[in-house]
Amino acid sequence: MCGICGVLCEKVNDFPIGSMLEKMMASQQIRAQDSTGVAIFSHDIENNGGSINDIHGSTVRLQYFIENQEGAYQLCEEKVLTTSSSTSTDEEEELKKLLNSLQSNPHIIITSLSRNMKLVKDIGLARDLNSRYKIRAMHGSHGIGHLRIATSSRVTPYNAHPFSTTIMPDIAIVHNGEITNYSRLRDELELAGYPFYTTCDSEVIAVFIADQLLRNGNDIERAHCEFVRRADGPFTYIAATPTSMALVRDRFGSRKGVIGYNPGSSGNNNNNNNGGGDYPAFWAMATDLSALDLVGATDHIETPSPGRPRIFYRYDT
Amino acid sequence: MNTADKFVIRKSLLELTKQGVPRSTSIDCEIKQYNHSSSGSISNYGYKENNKIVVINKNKNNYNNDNLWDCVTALGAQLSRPPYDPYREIINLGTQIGRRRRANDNDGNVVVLDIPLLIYGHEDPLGSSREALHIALNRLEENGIALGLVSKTELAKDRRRYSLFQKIEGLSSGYPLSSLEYDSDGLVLEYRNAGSIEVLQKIRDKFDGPIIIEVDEDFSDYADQLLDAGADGLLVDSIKLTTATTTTAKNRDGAISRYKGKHTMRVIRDARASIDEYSYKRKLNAGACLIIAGDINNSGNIVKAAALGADAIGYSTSLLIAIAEEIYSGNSLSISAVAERIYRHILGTRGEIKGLVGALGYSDFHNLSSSDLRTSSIEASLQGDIILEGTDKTYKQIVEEIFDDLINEESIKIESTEKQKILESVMVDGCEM
Repeated sequence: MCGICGVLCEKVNDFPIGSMLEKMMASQQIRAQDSTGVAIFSHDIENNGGSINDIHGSTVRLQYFIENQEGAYQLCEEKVLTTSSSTSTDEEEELKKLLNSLQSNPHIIITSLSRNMKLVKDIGLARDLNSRYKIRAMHGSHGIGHLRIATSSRVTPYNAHPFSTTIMPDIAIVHNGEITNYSRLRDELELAGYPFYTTCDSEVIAVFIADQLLRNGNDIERAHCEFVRRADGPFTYIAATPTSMALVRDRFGSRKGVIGYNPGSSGNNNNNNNGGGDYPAFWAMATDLSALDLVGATDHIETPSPGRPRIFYRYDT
Repeated sequence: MNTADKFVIRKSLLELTKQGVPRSTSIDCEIKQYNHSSSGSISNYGYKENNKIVVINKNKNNYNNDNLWDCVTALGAQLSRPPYDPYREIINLGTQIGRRRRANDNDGNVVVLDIPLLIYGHEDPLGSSREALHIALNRLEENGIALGLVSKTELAKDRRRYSLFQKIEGLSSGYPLSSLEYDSDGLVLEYRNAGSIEVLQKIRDKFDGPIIIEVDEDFSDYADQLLDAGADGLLVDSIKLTTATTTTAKNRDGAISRYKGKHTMRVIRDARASIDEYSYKRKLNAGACLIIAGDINNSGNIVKAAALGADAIGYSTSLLIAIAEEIYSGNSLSISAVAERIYRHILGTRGEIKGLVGALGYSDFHNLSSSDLRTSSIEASLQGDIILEGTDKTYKQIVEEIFDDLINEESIKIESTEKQKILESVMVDGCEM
């Protein structure tokens, strides 16, 4: 019953993604009220070489929740790399040390490793998330959002979506449904040495995709196809990397997912996406059609075929 | 786990940490005694007399494993994980036996079964029983249901459509390799001693199909070597191992099988761990399968065994139908009638497995995992590493937690190795009453 949504602007890097995601989440809030979260990408691909698994030569931030004495969680962020070196293994060692020290602290739950991504999540509604993290003011090229109703793990800020991984920076997923063979997939990935920080089944998607990208030279389509082949159960998820966003449904199409297109101010007389004015074309995806309607993404409405990842790339023409 | 259970565990732990006295009774037994004695009634396992608990010494070979499969249930599908309907959605039961060793090899050296069953028995059926089984398997294959048969006797390929795994017993260094014809689709070789590995390598050079090794109770010691030598999987006959009546179990150092008195789920757990460990070490050469035979005789147990880690099941029920017809019917049934019964039995079993897998919310038989199982029995939790009902932990995890609390509360100083020893002795996983 979770709600998911995503917006991708193909060519512009300063789009009010946070504001749009908040609207889309609010329109689907009836589906789930336990927790909410967004991951917003502000990516300048030319300055970063385009390789999402390369942590060298840029600022990489590690985000984590820390539990205080009252049992409340606070989202923290630590900058770990700010060097311009392109080959140094010292950076990787530094990151490993930091991860190990954080992991050994039982009051810390690591959430993400990011370079061009801002990931915030917490218990509460979309409006609560905005009041805490000012998501309405967040701009970028694309982003994903999630509304959670807990079914398989506790209602805590760290179990909220989006989920990410520390295997490589800038991967985020939001998920509606259940990965029934989660234990088996997780066991395999843990045997391969990948860390998991929560007990939520959705985390396995992020780790699996990252593993596939590392194995197959950043082939995102292959990664999603492989996940569909291996994963069981009813699910729809949206996965975002700095260069792509995909909506993926299980082989039987057991969970909903719709995609729509807004041609922008030049091609649309119905300016209801962002209060009017000039704005670029964008793709939007969500669980419910109402969310697309709210941002005016009502052209080329489609429901992706079960088991066939529908992927959109940044800077496509 | 209720207060009484916790009480018994804590009491045992306290005794051990202070006195170092090892446990000699199963935890299940002691808890039952406690529950019954505290209510003043006589139980099947003991009674209270003059404020002392008197234990009834039941047959120690049978006590532990009575209906242990029945104490294990699988978590059904639910709201967030709806069931699949096998009449509408495809439930995959396909099972690959064999590892592709070459990148460009599509299916040259693997056998793909449509049901994860290999018809397997200690003895080959003879005469009309064999013929009936042969007819049934051919008919199943014609209808798109491929099964495998493990048999000591070879049957020419032009007479059969199903996959035949020829069983070769007593594989050791003096084995007459020249007598082998390699006309079957796969081989099941019985491990005898270290010389078996050498022979396996020679056979591997000549035979390209899947080779499964039927192992003895020491499989964890040599599983790596077998898989490295070219074996495609392990076949574990749990009946042989848990009853320890076989020559292989007794001949090795004259010791009793380490699985004597244990349950099949313990055998599955350990064999799976051996294969997983191998797969972890040799990432490029993974894909070895585990076939469990014995003590699995219905669809429910097949699903539970798969959840615990079995890839395929050595299934003897069809064989028994064939043999039983011959013995008990006085040959009143024709071969074709017996074949019809076997055929229908397999069809029914396939439908049941599909239904069960779908009802658990899976579309693939091989996606089942032990996290889908729950048990009401501490013994089953211990033997199969299964989560106890009403908790999210196995018995072992609960004991470890209580143990940690205990040594903190009592300020007992204990070395980690000593702690491990105590935990192992507390968690007696075979009744030694």
